[in-house]
Amino acid sequence: MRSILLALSLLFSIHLAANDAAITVNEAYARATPPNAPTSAIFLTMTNTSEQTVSLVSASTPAAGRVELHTMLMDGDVMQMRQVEKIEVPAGKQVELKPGGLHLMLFDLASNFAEGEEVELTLVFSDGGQQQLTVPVKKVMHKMKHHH
Amino acid sequence: MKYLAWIALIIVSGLAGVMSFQWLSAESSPKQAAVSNKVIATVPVNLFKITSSDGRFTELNNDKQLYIAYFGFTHCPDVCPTSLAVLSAALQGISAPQRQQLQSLFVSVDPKRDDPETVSTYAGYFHPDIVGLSPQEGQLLGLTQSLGVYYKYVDIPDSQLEYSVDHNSFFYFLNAQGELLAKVPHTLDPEPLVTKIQQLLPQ
Repeated sequence: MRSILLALSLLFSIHLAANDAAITVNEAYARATPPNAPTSAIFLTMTNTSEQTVSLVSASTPAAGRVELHTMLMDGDVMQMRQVEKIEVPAGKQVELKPGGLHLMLFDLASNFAEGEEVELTLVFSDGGQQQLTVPVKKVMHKMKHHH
Repeated sequence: MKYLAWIALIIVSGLAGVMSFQWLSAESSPKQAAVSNKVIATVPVNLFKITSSDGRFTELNNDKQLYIAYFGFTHCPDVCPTSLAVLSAALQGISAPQRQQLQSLFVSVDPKRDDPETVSTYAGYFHPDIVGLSPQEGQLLGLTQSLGVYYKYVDIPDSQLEYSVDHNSFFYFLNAQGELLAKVPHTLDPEPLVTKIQQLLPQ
């Protein structure tokens, strides 16, 4: 009995590992927010190492009541925020969620996000794979050079 | 013949004088030229009579040499917080005397959701020098029209946001007379803002 369970769990973990391998998530961070801010955003980079297109279809976090997938479009000078159903990552390609473009939009924040905190994040993909991440909270300018 | 030589000498030295004068004045004038930047538009100062919830701003005032106005809304998913973060970085990149002569304003284009206090807290979070304003609708319309700020309410039925505000993203540089001196387009780098401040506020 025990060996069957072991075999099953082994199979299961291989299955999970296979799913994890399709998309690698890097450089994820949540945006620190002003007190009482209505929203925050999460940015990250997804790399598809598989041979078929995989899409991010949904995301959730205990830190927010709702997470939506959004994009920012430019029409001339005008910024247009729109909700999208999925974010496709073509085979072998990388897709960046970053300020001024794609992002995960968080609503109903449990509290404001302070720099140094962490947020649990679950990503669900079109191939059935799921990923759990712990995402640091950072200020948006954390990557940019400082001027003195 | 002698006279011709004298005339030639006078002409040559005259030319040299003119050229050196031009050279000298060209050398000393870039800052002057920057200060007397051409005015793009003039906003009636009455439109800027908006009291912030913290009372730090009531109107354009000669105490400040330069104003930077950015128009956005606190539900803005990405562009506004990014722009305010960039502005904050720019404010950290200039001297203390420059900061004293400068007032940054975050003006809400979403008065329905943004009361003056919300905007004030929101703007101040990015940098204590940034004042948040929420003008009433008529005043907002006047301000945005005279500056050429575009914004439009767009329903997002499936989103918790309910509606978003499409808007253009510029930093408007004004003086206390309401003259628009420059506008810097959306940027992810504080450098263009720092450069413009240095140009308009030479210490």
